Amino acid sequence: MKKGILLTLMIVLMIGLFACGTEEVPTDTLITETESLCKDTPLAVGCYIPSEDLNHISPIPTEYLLEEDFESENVNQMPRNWLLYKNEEYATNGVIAKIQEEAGGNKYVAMYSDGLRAPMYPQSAPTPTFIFTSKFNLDIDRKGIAFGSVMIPSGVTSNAVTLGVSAGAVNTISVVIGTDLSVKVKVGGPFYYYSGTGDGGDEYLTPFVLSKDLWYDFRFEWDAGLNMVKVFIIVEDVETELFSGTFHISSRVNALPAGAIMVPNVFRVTMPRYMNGWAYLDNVSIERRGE
Amino acid sequence: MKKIMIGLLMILSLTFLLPKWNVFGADLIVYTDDDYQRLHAVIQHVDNVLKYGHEYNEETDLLPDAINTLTGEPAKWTFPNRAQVPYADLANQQNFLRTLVGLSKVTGSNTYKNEAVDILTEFMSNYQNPNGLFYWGGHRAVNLDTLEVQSTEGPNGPHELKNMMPYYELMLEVNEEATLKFMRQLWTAHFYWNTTDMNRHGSYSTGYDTNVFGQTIPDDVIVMDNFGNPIIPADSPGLLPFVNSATDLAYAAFALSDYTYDSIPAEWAKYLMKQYNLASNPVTGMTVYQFKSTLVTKSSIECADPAYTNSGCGDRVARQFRDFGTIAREANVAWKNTQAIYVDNILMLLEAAKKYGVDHFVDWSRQYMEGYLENAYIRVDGKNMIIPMFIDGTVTYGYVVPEVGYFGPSNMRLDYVPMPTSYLLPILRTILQTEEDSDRVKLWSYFRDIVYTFGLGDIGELGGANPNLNVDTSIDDPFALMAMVELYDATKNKEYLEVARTIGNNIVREKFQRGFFVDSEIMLYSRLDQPDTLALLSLDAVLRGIDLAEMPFYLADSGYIHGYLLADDGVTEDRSYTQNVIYTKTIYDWE
Repeated sequence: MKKGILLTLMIVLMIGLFACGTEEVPTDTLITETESLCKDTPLAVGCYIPSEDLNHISPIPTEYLLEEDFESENVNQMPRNWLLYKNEEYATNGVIAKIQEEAGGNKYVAMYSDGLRAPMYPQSAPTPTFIFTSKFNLDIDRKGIAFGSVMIPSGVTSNAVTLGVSAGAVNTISVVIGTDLSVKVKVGGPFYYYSGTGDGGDEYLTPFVLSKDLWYDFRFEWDAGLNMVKVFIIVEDVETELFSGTFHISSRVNALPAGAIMVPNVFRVTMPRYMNGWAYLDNVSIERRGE
Repeated sequence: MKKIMIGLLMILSLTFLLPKWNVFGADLIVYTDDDYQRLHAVIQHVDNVLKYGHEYNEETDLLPDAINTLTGEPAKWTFPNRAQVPYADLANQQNFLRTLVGLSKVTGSNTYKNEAVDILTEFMSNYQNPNGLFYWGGHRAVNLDTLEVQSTEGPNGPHELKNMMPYYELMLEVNEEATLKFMRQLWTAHFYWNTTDMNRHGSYSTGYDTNVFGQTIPDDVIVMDNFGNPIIPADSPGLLPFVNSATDLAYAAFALSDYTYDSIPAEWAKYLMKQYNLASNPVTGMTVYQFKSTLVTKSSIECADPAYTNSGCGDRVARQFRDFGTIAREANVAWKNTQAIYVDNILMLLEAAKKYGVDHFVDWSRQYMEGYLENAYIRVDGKNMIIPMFIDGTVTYGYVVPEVGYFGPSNMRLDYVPMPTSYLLPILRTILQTEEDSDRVKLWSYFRDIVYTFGLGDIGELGGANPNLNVDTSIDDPFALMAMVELYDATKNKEYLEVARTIGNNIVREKFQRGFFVDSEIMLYSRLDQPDTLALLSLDAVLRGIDLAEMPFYLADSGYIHGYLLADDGVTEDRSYTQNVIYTKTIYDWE
């Protein structure tokens, strides 16, 4: 009796188990699949094939210059190759950079800023509203010359304006023309990593005061090998040096005296926040600096 | 004979007593050549990371956080003045360390684990401040040019971990003393014992406290009002207890207690996590991003500009979303930073429950997930989406933000937010760790819908019966892969494994490019913290019959660096994240 019960139980269980097995396991899959020979020797020769040397692109930059007289641009349009900063908070015509043509046929960029907004970061910083830029690259030479002409117009509200060269977002050397038409030189800054919320650059007064409605030419020079930056004003073909000195600390890696000098790659024009008005720009170029 | 029969009978009977979920039994799995090809790709990726990562500076065993797949060079942080710094931030390399250990497990070769050990040995010996904090995290890294410590947030950036959840098991194996010191100092530097404030930023100047965790655990910060609603105090002077930092604090404390058999750190971790639970909404069950609101410390003149979003001007959501009244607080937002709350934090809670026995964390996880899915989950146009809302269920969908603020520009319209696939893991792991089937039903139902909508087919009934999976799915996602592997592990239903194999094949086909795993074919950088290789190794492990519990476990891939950098336009300064500026670059952006 005991044996009979035991046997019956066993048979029921076995039937149940086999029934489940046939239902759940797709046997055709099991039959066709074969075990990989590399399963237990995944790193063995014949299994693992290390990748060949990857064909990588050289990270060495390509140098290029800038030559902008704007004569080939279309009137009332933004010049090609230039970037005018705006974000969602800027009014539609809060900043303008458009090609205009003088009576004599010369084309130039008319620049306007309402001074109301600025990039959101860094906060609490004296970031300008109007940021108008074009890029170049002299990273191998690590020296160069930039030219730019500016006019402060009458007949419209004129604005303070700064033009010069910068390494990325950080000014290398520039001239600052105030609403009183005075000319200052600014070296370095802003670089908030180093300066907190202040600008951090150094400003130098010059004796020059500009007149409205006249074009003024400026020449900026830099040479990282000599640790030298210079700026000149050119009036009627006469060059006058406004400043000659060394790169500012904010141009160096980590703003440390031992940090390598970062050379400029941007020609930049800015107009400050909280001030509005116009200024004009022409004849921007970047040249190589000889020996 | 009788004894043998009885023995057989007992064994057969026992099979019926196995856990209910494991209903399919462990059939023999054939490890095929296709399976090996996936592993082959992982090995090639790892070998290339090691080769090109080490090639840049042979003076160090440290590796960069990411590799430029066009040049083979390290990813570089570009400062506003163009200075480029190749960075090694070990907090952002935890999944790679786990991958190395996992690769050693499945290949049987210690080579890879030894690499991980070498990397950690150098890092822990040379880059730990005397106070115990490591030089890693959101604002510090190692400069691979100079091998000096690099800050990205001013010259002396603070210590910050947000859901980085270091691989403490390996760290303890490599350098026990340094690891224990770090885990203790993490609390001293970030938690204010007397005021219960917490700061995501910790100072490298804070001295090492030998009496850490020595204080009496205080009363709860969160108390209820007369209606049973939590009162979130607005008394924190800029020291906001973000859940992503708290998650790391809690994880460290649990790991510390587990290792030292001292239960006190774990008690502090439970206390900290409890504050988020107390602050959760009693009706919806959804929880908070922080359990305190900021104290106003700045003047009204400073704060007049809405674009000035310093937390000293008060709660940033209260400022930007004031139309919504008192619910509009940073703590209560359920459409931003939700990954930190509903993925990373929950994965840590579940890990603590599983490894350290904090069982009630599973209940909290279920409460949060059920509340979130019940209120905020929606399927729109065949996609899994999240309805923007506050945690009491107040919907913000369609709201046009009137002015700029911390949460975005003016005129921004709040829309549905796509649900990332990473949500699969916390939902599934919560289900698997929940005891009673009756408590699993609701989450399983959501999970079933979500998985289906992601294009994986029907996972079937609770427990894994009768699935109708899309074995030809085109999804190439590591979280979907991990979910299928974990479902298989729990049920032993091979249909999940077949889909896992398909996903694994898709990942290799779509993401293994130029010798590295990348987010997609066009993405420039291969991040060491990417979860794909770890997911592929989990699949490889179960195919070999290795217990998943023996494999390094995925917890997060939230590593980032934050600070001052040159914006994408190349001419303005910005403060942003590697994830927004560097890892978004494609092969067409590189110059």
